[in-house]
Amino acid sequence: MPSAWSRISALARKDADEVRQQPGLILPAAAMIVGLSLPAFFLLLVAPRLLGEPLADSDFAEAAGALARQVPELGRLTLEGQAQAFILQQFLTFSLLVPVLGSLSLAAQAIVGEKQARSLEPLLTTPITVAELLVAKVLTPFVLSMVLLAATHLLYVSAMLAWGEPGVWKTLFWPRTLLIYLLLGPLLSLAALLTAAIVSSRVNDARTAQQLGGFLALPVSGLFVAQLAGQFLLGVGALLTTALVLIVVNVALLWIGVRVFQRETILIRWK
Amino acid sequence: MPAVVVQAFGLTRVFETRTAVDDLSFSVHAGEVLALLGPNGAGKTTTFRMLAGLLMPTRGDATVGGASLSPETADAIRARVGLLTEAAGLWERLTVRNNLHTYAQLYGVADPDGRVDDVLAAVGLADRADDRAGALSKGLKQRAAIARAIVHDPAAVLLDEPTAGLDPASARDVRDLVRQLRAQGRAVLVSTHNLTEAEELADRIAVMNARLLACDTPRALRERRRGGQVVVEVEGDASRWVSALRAAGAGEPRVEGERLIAPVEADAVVPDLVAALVAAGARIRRVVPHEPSLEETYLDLVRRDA
Repeated sequence: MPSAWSRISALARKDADEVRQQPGLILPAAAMIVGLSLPAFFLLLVAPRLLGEPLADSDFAEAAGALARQVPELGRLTLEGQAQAFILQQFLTFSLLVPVLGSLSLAAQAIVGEKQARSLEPLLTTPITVAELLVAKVLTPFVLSMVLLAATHLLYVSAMLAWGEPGVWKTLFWPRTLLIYLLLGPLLSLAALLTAAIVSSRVNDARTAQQLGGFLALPVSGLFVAQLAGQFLLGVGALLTTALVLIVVNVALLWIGVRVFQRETILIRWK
Repeated sequence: MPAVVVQAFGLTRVFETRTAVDDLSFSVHAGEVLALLGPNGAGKTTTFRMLAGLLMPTRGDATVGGASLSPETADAIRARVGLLTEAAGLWERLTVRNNLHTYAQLYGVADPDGRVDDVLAAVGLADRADDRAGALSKGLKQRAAIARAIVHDPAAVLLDEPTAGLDPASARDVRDLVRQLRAQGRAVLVSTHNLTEAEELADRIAVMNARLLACDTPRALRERRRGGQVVVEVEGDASRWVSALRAAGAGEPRVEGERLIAPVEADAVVPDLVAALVAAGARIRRVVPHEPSLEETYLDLVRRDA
């Protein structure tokens, strides 16, 4: 008998092969990286030049200064650099939407596509377990979401190296930043993909699953707006608490997913 | 006698209030083809799904290759069974080879590349291996789906309506593949609505309508009705002599042009029927026992059950 991992990787590779045949699924995700990064670059780099008003003179500078008193690395930057770093940190939360929204279409298509092609029943005749099936169906979109997240990070670092104040790019490697990219990003992405997979079992239209999975974008957007309006930054403790909540959410979604993905349920109830 | 590969004992599946399969018992030996006949909704697909370890029976049991069907053994059962589902269900954007290779890996086939080449050659698709599955004709897709069902070298192969919707040439190719599977010593179950095909392919035929109505060789099934009817061929319109036949004690006769087909309780009453017809003025060309077709036998079984 093959191992669970060999079955999961065989099916996930198959999904990846199918994605490669459909550039229409990947291009919007790639476009999303640019689209969601533009507001940050506009606020950080374009608006101050257009208006002739440096960020050091804006309301952000005061909040950044307060933060600089707690974070020595920030204190070493120029005033403009401090404001840039502060705004950049606020936008990091917003950038989490890139992997979530970019990979949802893939997760939805991975299930709905099998239903439409009537290829689920043959698949279920193999020794793959339902948990393996669920993991395999989420794996390819998850890997893509992580690539998108890494690409977003690279874009921010490159832009700040090219046009930012000296040293600002280094703030993109702060523990807070890494916590967002390496812990919150994957957890949020996984929750969205599991939601899309579960919803896909009940609908025949990938877009419906995508839209419902996209509900997870709402708390992220809310957090971003709250940060921007209140001009505060969530600390490491708050981010860790959020990660803990997301772990619980993911465990619950996995539990629901395995129940929804029972062979009999798929054959009898999935339409 | 070859070994029994598939055996069902009182297999029953109830969906809420509907009994899809009711107390089904049969066996299929290695190198044997059993055709499953029955009207739509007779439970053929549900039976296949149970035998393939996809659905668990509500009652009863089944063994495949000696392994008894249960949630714990379902994985082992699935490794011994190849199921061709009603829809080919290929991944159409991938090549035929990719489709089969993925399945070979899912089944844990030791040498996936070699095995895929073997089954592609066996179903005559070696030259189309690198074509996208979506580019194949319906007949070729069906052949690819059969290759997928046997990629793990199963002892039992279940084919759910394998020739449905195929043109005659493609259907014949699929029937040749079924014969090939039998020659390889596999136990083959085929569900079909094509009675000629069932008669041509199957060693035995099981007629079901939720429950098993009959299971025997095609000849034995036909002979069940033989002797129960007599054909009287007369000159001219046969319908003129229906009342004479009725009066002589035959059952309700059927008229086919110059032929009267009448149910009789025993061969002993046939001389009386002939005498009655002659007395009424009929000119009789010949009298022969009726050879029922498989279709008549099947329809008779299903009608009686209804």
